[in-house]
Parts: sequence; structure tokens; C-alpha cells
Amino acid sequence: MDTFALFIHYSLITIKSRFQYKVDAIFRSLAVFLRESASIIIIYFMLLKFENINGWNIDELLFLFSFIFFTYGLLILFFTGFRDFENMVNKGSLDRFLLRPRGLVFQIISSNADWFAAIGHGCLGLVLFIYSAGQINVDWNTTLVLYCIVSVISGVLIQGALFLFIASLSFTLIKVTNIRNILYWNTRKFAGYPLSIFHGSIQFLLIYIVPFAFVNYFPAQFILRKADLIDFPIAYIYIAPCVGFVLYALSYCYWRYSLRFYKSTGN
Amino acid sequence: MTKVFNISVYLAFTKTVFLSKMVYKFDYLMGILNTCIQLFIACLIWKTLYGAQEIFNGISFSMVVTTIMISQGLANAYTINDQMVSKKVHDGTIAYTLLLPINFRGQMFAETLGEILFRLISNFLPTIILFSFVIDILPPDSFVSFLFFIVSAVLGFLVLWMISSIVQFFAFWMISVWSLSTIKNVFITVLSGAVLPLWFMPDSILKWIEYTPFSSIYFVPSRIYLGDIAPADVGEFFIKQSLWIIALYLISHVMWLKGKKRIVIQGG
Amino acid sequence: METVIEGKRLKKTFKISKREKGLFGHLANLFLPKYIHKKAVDDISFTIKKGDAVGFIGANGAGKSTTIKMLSGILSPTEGSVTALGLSPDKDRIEYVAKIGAIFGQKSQLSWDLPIIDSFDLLQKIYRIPDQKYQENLAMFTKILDMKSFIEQPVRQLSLGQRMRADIAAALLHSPELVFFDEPTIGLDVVAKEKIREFIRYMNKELGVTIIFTTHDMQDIEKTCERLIIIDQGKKIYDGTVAGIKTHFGSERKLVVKFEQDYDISEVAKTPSIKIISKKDRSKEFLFKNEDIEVKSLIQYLFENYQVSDLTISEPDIEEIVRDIYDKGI
Ligand SMILES: Nc1ncnc2c1ncn2[C@@H]1O[C@H](COP(=O)(O)OP(=O)(O)O)[C@@H](O)[C@H]1O
Ligand SMILES: [Mg+2]
Repeated sequence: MDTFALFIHYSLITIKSRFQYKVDAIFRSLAVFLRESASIIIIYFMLLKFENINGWNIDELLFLFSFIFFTYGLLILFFTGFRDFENMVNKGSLDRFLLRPRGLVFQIISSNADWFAAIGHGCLGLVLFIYSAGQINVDWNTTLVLYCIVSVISGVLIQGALFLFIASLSFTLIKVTNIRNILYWNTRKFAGYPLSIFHGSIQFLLIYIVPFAFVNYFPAQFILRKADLIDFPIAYIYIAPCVGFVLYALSYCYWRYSLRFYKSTGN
Repeated sequence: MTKVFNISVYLAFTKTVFLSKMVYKFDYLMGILNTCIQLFIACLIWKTLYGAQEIFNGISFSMVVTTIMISQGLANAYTINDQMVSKKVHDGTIAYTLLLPINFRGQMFAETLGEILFRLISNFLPTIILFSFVIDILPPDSFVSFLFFIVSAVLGFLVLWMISSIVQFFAFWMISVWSLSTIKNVFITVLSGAVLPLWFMPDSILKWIEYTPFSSIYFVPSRIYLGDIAPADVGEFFIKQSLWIIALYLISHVMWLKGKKRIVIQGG
Repeated sequence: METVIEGKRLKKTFKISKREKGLFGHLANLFLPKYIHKKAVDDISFTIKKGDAVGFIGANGAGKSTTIKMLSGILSPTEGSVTALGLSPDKDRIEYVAKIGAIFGQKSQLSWDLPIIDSFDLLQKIYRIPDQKYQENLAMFTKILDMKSFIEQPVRQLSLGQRMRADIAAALLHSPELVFFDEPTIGLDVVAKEKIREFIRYMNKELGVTIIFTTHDMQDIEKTCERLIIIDQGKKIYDGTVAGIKTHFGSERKLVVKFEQDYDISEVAKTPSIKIISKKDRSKEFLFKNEDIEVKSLIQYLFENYQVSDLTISEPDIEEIVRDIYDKGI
């Protein structure tokens, strides 16, 4: 309870410091929302003319995309500190966290919670989800809703595990920014579209190496059961809600292990 | 105070930035990788959309791919840092900058030019060449088209620069212009045809785009390259591009004068 | 007196990646990084008692900050052990850091954009400081450190001296019994330095806080500490009283004399304890020890026998003493 209160206090502080520049702060969430919508708007226009991509119509695609945006919204609320970890270490923030009588991971999370971006991404995800969930011709029942909720949490954890893993690498490697860009940002560009439009090697990457497929494609397929699912083991749609928990646990162990190599920053 | 206008000073800025970018070899490899992935995905999606058809709505697949290569390639090269003025206002160095005997806007432009030339050579060219082995990129319609394309691409960049200047100068009032710059970029991404060639834009929206500067940035140059705008008709489009440059420049100039005054009044 | 810190044979070795230039270098760094080992702290032991004020001094890169980081639990020693307040700083981190405070002169822990008081309020929550104690401490520090005029201002609008004072208050709000200062006076002007020294002395003497202090300004040490530890290249080369070092190593004086004409001064140098270290036309520099020669008589001698136009006496500065001790060994 005390910890939760502190998280809120930290958040208020960050929000207040952004509000030193009022106009910019007010438009910040909107800007993120619009920036992320751009790709959606473009796909929407495309499908006005072409009708479908590999058998997926616009509503199904929006449903697929909603997982990416919604999980990212939650992700940056909790994992921005790990995403930008190298920067934080260079600024000496980690030294300071180590000097305070609170959990390290807790401090990294709460002092970096980016509410503005989270609202932008999260709202877009939510709007897309709610709109498309009504259009896709699915009988929503408790099981499906529960499946979606757990999958979203798992999706956040998959990406969180990735950030945590890359952050842990920075204790032993010099620079991880490039690795992060290759592993996360470049791979994320593929995620969002139906997995089946890609070549085998890219599918392999998205399933087994940087498992974005478990963030959106498999969870969406559990609901939609589109024909192209036969390309992949059916079991994957059932394990999708667990993948994140397993990966995060592994990543966390690696983080604990790597922390002993922390060597602070020289002057 | 008189400001010296000596072109060689500005060329020196351009050169310095160009050379300093060359130091980070690894970064530009990463830049090429980024662009390649982006273009690759775009091609794949268009391929999937076209399926077995060669021509859709009178536009061939090769035309689409070529437009995408040119306009997204240029968009990747034309990176302008919208935070230049904002940063100086934030840390208070703007007042000092204004006292220097060089034209600040000239310097900003020269430095951006250095960066863009570098990205054209290190990013745009190699990716285009790389992709031409894998995908059917059409050659320019004719030599004349190609020359006109170059002119139009330069004008397109100037349009983009003027839009960016306006956003930058808002920093005099707002200090931080991150949101504004992001929103501006959304408009450019969607409406310029850089990602979705404007042939596929719904007609109701296309009608409105006519009255904005956005299609002048990437789409007009691409069409000239393809011969979709014949060399005989190019004049009209050049005039349109130029008028936008002038109009946007006037707006940005007024903002600059007003903004500068604010800084002086505040006493830095 | 109760022992507060016990450092036993502390060593810290940094593995530093060797950067190679060029494109291949970059790729090699990414996939096959090469390392060199740098001994930042090399076998240092000491004991610090409750209520002590100990100064760590040494040249840049000597290993002071690294030592402080090991004592405060940021870094674990490569070899050796630290016991502080009966705990192990890295293993019992949370319990330990609740009882200590740390100030790093180079890095502020206050929010850049927000009023200082907001950062203080956050610290109250982080350290779970009871309201009453927090208010008392805040009032006390505001008064002693003279922060009233700027406590509502954000850090970016403060002078370095003001920022440093606010940072010190921030580190002390939870009433730590042991406080580390890493170069708290760096970059400050004389007046600001003096204020900070005064406050540190007050904390140590009046509040009984144990203090560890690093600096490379000898005056900081003289005015705040009784005990001094000198570190050079990761090794402890002196551990004793401040007065001790002055009589032992700081006793050399340098006398720079400008004569009216270019005398042959070999006569002066005949006294065995005076060394001539430079002769430039009319300017000569002598080196002598306080205990061998009385300054007064030397000057008198010079004035009686030569025509002197200018004269200065200087003590060697701390970097020179450290170098001197290091050269000779102890
Ligand atoms: N995080 C680090 N990584 C690598 N080398 C370091 C690090 N911190 C310090 N060093 C090196 O260790 C030596 C001692 O540094 P430091 O303890 O900061 O010295 P001081 O505080 O006395 O100036 C220096 O040579 C420094 O370069
Ligand atoms: Mg230091």
C-alpha cells in the first residue's frame, strides 16, 4: 500500500515537471495518439481500395493491431526505465537508486513512468479494440474476455522481459542501444501485420527469437481463427497467455545475476 | 549590428556537419538497416495487396514500388531536427546566438543541409541500389524527367524545411515544441504520399490535399520521375511548389521577427 | 568508541573494454570485446569510529570515489570486505542505506525542473520519515543552510552553491548517522566553500554524525577533519592526524626571491638544508624545511646581504605533498 502510494507520488512528480511547459504537456498524449494512429489511418485507406490483406479485412486487422498498441501503453508505464536504461546509468541515476532504501526495480519503474505516452498508446489500443471487437462477428463470453486480459498482461511482460534482458546486458557489454534498436524497434516494425504474410525466416524471428507473435498474432487468432493459422502449431494460441510470465521470470533471474557486475560510472 | 553574409561561412557549416557524421560509421550501417527493413515491409505489404494482379486501378505494381522507394527513401534522408530553436530557448543560449555576426537561420539551414546530403549519399543511394537487385524498380521515364525530378526533389525539401521552420519558431512562445512537431509529422506522413501513394487516397480526402503543401514534398517528385507528370506539364507543378515555399517562408519570417523581439524584450 | 566502518583489504578492479577505432573495431567491440583490467582501489584497510570526521584526499583518479562507492553499497568490492554499522553494505543494502546519507558533488539528486521542496517531499516518502521529524529537520536545515529564499525554486534556477546546500539537506533529511561527502566543494567559490565546511563541522560536532569526506582541497580537510587518509593510485599511503601530515610532509617551504641584480647566491646555498631549485636572472627559488631553518632569520639574512625587490613564501599544495609522500614512501 505504502509502495503503491509512492508510485503515485513519483508519477505526480514527473507529470508536474512536464507541466512546466503547459501547452506542450497538454498536447503530449494527443500527439502520441495521433503519431501512432498514422499507420492505422494509412492501412484503413489502403483497405478501402484493396479490401483485404491475405484474407484479413480491415476490422480483423484493427483487432490485431489493438494488441500492439494497448500492450505498449502499459509497457511504457512500467518499463520506460529499462527501455532507456543505458541513458539512466550514464546519468548516474542507478547509483542514486542504490542509495535509497527501496527496491531497485521498483525505483527504476516508478521514477520513469511515462503517463503521457502511456495514455496516447493505451487509448489508441483501447479504441481500436472496442471498435473492432464489435465488428468481427465473435460471440464474446467470459472465457474470451478473460483470455484477452491475460494475453494483454502476457504481451506486456514479453516486451518487458525483452527490455529487462537488454538492460541486463548493459552490465557486461559496453553499449546496448544498438542491440536494443535491432532486437526491439526493427522487429516491432514487422509485428502488427498478420504473421502469415512474411517469409519463413521472419516468422521464425517473430515466434522464437523476439516473440512478438505471442503479443498479438496468436492471441488474436484464438479469437478469430482465420484460415492462415494452419501454417503454425495450433498449440501456440493456447500457450500465448503464459509466454510472457515465463519469459519475464527468466529475464528477471538474469537481471539479478547481472546486477553484481554493475560498476557505476567513472567521472 | 550588421550581419555578414558570406556564403563560404555557411558552406563551412555544411561541410563540418557532413564530415562529423562520417565518423560514426556504425551508426550509418544501422541507418541503412533501418531503411531496408522499412522498405522491405512496405514492398511486402504492397505485394500481398496486389496478389496476382499486375495492375490495380490503372497503377502497376512496379509504379507503386518505385514511388515507395523514392518517397520513403527521401523521407528517411530529409530528417530535420525540429528541436534546434527549442533547445536554445530552453537552455537560454538563444539570446547569445542572436548576437553572433552570422545569420542564425542561415546556419540552421546550412547544418541541416550537411546532414541531409550525408544521408542522401550514405542512406538513400545505397538502399536504392540494393533494392534494385531484388525488386523491379523502374528507371526514370526519360533523361529530362530525371533532371526535372532532381529540381522537384530540391523544391520538395524546401517546402518541408519551411514547414519545419514554422514549427521550430513556435518555441519562442511554447519553449518545448515536441508535441507540435509530432503532430506536424503525422500530417506529413499521412498526407504527403510518402507511405501511401496518393493514387490510393480516397477521393474525398484527395480533394482537400490539393489545397495543402503536403503533396509537393515527395509525391510530385516521384510522379515526375515516373513520367506520370509529363515533362511538358512540369511547369505548373514547379510553380505550385515554389508558391508554397514563398508563402510558408513569409509566415515563418513573420514568426521569426516577432519571436526574436520577445527574446530581446525578456532580456535573454 | 564504537566502530562504525571496518574496511578490510578492499580491492576494486574495473574491467574496461578497449575501444577499437573504425568500422571493424565497432563490429569487433560488439561481438568480441577486449578488456583491460584497471585497479582503482588496491588493498586498502581502515577502521572508522563513531563520531569521527575522516578526510580522504588524493589526486584525480586516485580511487577516492570508488572507495566511497564501496563503503556506501553502490559497488561491491572485488576482494576484501566492508562492515558498516554492523551490516554489509551490498548484501543488506536496504537496511543499510536507510541509515546513511551520501552527497556527490558532481551529481544532484534533485529534480531539474521542480521546486526543491517537491524533491524533499518525495524523499520523505521514500525514506518513510515520520511527519514530525521531517518538519523538524526541514526547519533546521532551512535555517542553518539558509535555504529559505530559494526552497520554492527549481534547481535549474539556482547557483552551484545553493544547489549544493539543497543537495546536502536532501541527503540528511532522514537523520543518517553516517554521511559520505564526495567532493562537495568542487567548483564552488570561497564563500560557498566556507559555508559548507562550517555546516559539516556543525553536523559532526553538534549532531555527532560520523563523516567521510573526499576532496582535493587541503583546506577542506584542515577545517573539518582531525583524521586524514591519503590515497594514491588506489593505495593508502597515509593514515593519521591532519597535524601529523603537516609536520611530517608539509614542512617544506618554498621561498621565491627577486633580487635587484643577478647575484651569485652560492653563498646562501652553503647552508646544508637549503636547496636552490631554480635560478632565472634575478629570480631565485629556495627550498628549505621549517624545522631546520627559521624563516625569520633566513629573510633577515637575505635583506642584510643583498638588495631584495620582492619575496614570497609558499607551502607546497596538497598535490605536491601527495606526490612527495608517494615518491618517498612512508
Ligand atoms: N565505473 C568505472 N568504470 C571503469 N573505470 C572506472 C570507473 N570508475 C572509476 N574508474 C577508474 O578508476 C580509477 C579511480 O577512479 P575514482 O575512484 O573515480 O577516482 P577519484 O574519485 O579519486 O578521482 C580511475 O582511473 C577511473 O578511471
Ligand atoms: Mg571522484
